[in-house]
Amino acid sequence: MARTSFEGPLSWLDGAGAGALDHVVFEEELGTRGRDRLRQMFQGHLDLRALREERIEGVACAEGVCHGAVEGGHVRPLSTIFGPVRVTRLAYRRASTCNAAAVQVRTRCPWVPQRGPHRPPLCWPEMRSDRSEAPDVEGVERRARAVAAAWRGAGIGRSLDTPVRPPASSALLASNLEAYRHEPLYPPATSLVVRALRRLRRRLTADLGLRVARLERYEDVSTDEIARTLARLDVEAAELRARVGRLEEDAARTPAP
Amino acid sequence: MKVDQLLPSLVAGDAISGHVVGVKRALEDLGHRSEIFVGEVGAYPVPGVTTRPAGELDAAADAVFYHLSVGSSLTDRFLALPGRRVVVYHNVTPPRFFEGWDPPMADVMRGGYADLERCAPLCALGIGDSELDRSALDAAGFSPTDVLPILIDPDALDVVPDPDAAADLGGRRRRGRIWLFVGRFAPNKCQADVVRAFAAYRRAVDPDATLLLVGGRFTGSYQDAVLDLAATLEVGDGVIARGPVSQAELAACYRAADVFVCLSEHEGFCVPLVEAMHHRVPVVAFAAGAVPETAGGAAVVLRDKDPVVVAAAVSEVLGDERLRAEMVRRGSSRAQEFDIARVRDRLPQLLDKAFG
Repeated sequence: MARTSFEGPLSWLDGAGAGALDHVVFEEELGTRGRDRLRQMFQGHLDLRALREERIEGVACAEGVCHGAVEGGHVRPLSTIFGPVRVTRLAYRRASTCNAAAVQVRTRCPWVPQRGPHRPPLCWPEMRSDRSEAPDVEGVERRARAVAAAWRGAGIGRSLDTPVRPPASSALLASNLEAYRHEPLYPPATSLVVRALRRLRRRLTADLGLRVARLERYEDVSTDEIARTLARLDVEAAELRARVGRLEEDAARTPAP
Repeated sequence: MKVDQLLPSLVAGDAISGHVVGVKRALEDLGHRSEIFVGEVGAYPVPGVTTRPAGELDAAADAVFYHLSVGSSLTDRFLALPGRRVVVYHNVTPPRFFEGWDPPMADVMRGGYADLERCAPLCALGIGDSELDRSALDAAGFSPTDVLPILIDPDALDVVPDPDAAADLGGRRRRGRIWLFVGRFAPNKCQADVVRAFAAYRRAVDPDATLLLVGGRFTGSYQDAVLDLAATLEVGDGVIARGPVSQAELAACYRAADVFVCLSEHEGFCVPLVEAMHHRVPVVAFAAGAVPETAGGAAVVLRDKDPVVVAAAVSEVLGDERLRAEMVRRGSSRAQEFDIARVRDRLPQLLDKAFG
């Protein structure tokens, strides 16, 4: 079936419909059709494995419990980068425990997080490389994408796109000055740093002025609050200026190259 | 022959500084005289290595290797020297990474590009740490060019791990897996992306895992932002920032690590990849800059740095003992290719090229 379904996209490519599409629409359409055919090929391959699967003796789960009984035709869903497929295979059972396939799902899926270090891996043919073959280092990203698709469905990716942004210029200056003072790896040319710091100091002054101007626009802020805030800003600005000054002095004491 | 070296500063624990010391020893082994001249005396001098101020550079040297990675007024002094001038290019980080985070550093990096272009027509040879760096030298107009990978001394890596750090990390390792990244806190190193991937891993696989970020506070504001992000993603308790660390502490970190994860977007060579391989730690890295070249097929190199994909890739590596063992085997073999003894054999060819 997988082999015949591959002919579909070829005939579509050959037809008049595809020829009438502009590049962008054609790219999207080809991507959609192509992925679905790949999903069908994936499914076809899994079905073929199911037909060829032979019973293995002495199968043990991650806890080392032997699962002697077998349920044929066990089916479970699998998310792939091409779309959902079904995995049909033998499930090794043992009374009063879940079957080995379900144990495997637990060790790999997010909704039952493991405690402690990884358990010993299970080497099921469709999930892990065949033990007779060399480990497939190059295929890790492909397999990771498939696993990630399932994880995303379980909400693992939530809020991970939270950006990191530089702070306001005064805090930025404070953080970086500390770094310059204490972590002089790759010290930049003294003159460049001093020049840049002078520019930053001018920016800092402008920033403080802007903040005061914005504060004054809030009519409901009491005079006392404005006074307190201005005093705090003054202290902050004085500290920062002192730090810039110390850095400039350090730089001036450094022998000229 | 006298072959001197010039660089902004020589700092203990710094990859370029280690390379410079390795080149000096290799030159001396070859029977040449060699001195190191620095623009500024660093806060962490390299034990047992004597440096002289750049102001004392004179015309006595037959050749001078100038190590260029930032803009510096040393370039003027270098270009005024009469001997053979050789630029050893360690890659300038694109200024865009520092915009917003550290404007002075962005200026310094812009200065680095300008210096590289100024040097090109006046130098006898350009040497890059990697083919990536060599292509940058070619683009700047250097001719001829060559590659000399960063010299890595395995004896310097195989120090006794710091007992306190080893005990602390050993306790953490009993609870969960340890991710490691080594590199100064800077926006191009993308520690924020490592934190995101780590958060996905903690949610999906191992809620007791630890992320160890080892490196100097190079861009202070970026380090603060990365640690804030860890707190926002509720993994702050598992993220440890250490640095700068001694060689003994670094050895303890590598010894404890289960996986080295590098999602850096700009690397001219990436020494920590080789260090991790030397310490038999499997590497998962993002394919940027010279990372694929340095990894040389001995790491999982991802084209996608989606945090969930990265976490799943780490899970694949740590969850399959045969795969992990294969990566360790390949890594050990790859690390040996950068052994100082092998790489320094190339120095005579490079000198021939400079004087050819």
